[in-house]
Amino acid sequence: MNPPVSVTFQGKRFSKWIRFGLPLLSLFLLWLLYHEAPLLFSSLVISFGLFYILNPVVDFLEAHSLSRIAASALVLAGLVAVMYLMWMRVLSFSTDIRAQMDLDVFQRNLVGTAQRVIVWVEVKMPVLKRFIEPETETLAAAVVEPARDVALKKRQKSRSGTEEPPPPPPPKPKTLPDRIEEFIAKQLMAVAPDLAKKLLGLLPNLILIPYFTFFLLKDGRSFRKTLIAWIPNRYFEPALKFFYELDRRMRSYFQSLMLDCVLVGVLVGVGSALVGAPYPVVFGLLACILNSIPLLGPLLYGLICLVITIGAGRPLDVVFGFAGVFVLSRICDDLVFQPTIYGKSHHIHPVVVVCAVLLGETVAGVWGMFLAIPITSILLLGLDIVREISMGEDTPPLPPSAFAPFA
Amino acid sequence: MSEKPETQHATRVLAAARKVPVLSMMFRRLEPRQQEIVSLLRRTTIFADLTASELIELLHLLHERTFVAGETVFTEGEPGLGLYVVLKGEIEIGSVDKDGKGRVARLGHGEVFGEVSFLDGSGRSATATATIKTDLIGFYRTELFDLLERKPALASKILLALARQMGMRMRAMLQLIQP
Repeated sequence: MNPPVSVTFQGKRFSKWIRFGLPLLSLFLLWLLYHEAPLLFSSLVISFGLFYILNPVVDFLEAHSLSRIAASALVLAGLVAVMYLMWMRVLSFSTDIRAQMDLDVFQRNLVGTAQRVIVWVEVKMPVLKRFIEPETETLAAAVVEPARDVALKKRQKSRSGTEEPPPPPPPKPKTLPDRIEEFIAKQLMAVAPDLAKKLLGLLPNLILIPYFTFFLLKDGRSFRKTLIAWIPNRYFEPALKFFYELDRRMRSYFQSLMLDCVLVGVLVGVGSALVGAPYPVVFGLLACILNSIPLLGPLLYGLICLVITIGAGRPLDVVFGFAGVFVLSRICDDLVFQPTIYGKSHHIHPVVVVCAVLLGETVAGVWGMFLAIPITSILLLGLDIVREISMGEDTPPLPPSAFAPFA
Repeated sequence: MSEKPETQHATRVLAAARKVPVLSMMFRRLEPRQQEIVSLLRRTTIFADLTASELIELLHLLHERTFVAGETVFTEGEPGLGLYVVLKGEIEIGSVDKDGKGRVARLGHGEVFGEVSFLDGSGRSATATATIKTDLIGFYRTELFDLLERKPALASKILLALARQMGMRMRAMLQLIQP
């Protein structure tokens, strides 16, 4: 029986396009899920991240004679316990905040610190005074002009001898501290309803994420094998190779991300404690969680921690000390942690990373930023396949062998 | 390779624990199909040296594939990714040498093929076709790489067994060539 050579040849070429089509299909499905089912999307992304981080622990327990279901349950129970302890710490922190300060005190502390910073800048850097002085000129104009008008009207009244109604008091001139206070109040009012809505939207995730994570840990391998088993024999090996590469890159990314976030969290927590900032444990937890969002996350935790430090009425040197800790954490993260942790596994140029993160933000907001690096990795996998196709690296098929039952 | 006394003792304790209804849920249990595959792998030259727990660990990395009569498993020259063990059925291995003469081998239950391409990833040296409906157990390079990261000792045992088999074949071929 002669082998179907032409079909084999076409099958080999077609299998390359199958390999290239799979990354694009995966990205399309991801995009569709993000737009049509955002709650499911967010739950699945976080669950897959937790799966890649916790799977080695479950594998270790299973290798020591524990069943998969028991190992998965044990690991998930440990994770829930850790999350509960973190939540209790955050709750106690928010109780402290409410007991120690109210919003007026918080705003006064912010404004007071802003004034002290302005005075400090005027003393240390006189060249910048000319940028600050126009504020004092505006203040003078706002105070002097109405006073001059009042004096003029008084003289006019004394000459005419008629009673005139007292002039309305001049509007209170808006000083720089007043304008800062107004700006902060406006921002808080603008963010509060949206923030409340987003926090409520996250509540179903508290149930879905542990649910999905448990079943991924318990049956993830079976899901993968079942998915691969559906692929026809002809395309099995190329598809297996693609899934292996995809799995390896995702596992590497999430494990690297976790390590990076923990290192940054420890650095910020220890640094905050050393400089005397309030709530160093909470600052460390915040840095650990928000550092997972590229570019925006570090700015967010830096800003929030700085505002809390100022609002707690800490002296200026503590505020500057925390700013120094933040700058140090960014330097360590960008120059030491990330090149060491990510550099070996992903081989993506930093410029490509920045472009991908900004594009991700445009397409899908915060989730786009969070998934920018793994998606870039998938696209690079697809480009490798295109390179193979264009350079013809796969060996061409040998001349057809006349396969027959020979003597 | 016989197990150490400590391992045998642990195996006896585990076997006793599995008989307790509540505790038995905590421990691994194999389905009949999985037990059939494990007993088949024990009889192959490549996996004969692995312990019971190592075979169970390996079970999760193997892929069962079914081929209908006449379906090609792989073609001569195409890049290879895996080796196969015949679970059920028959595989015909065919190749044409430079003189245009064909060579055919038939492999049955428990026999291994495709190990050369599995090791070096190069093109297949022959065409493999199922003569009847055949079930194969496939072990692929991607799973081996995964095993090298997670369980380097187990991966090394498999690679050593493969190398031993290659060495035996080379000696057999040299004996055929030498007068």
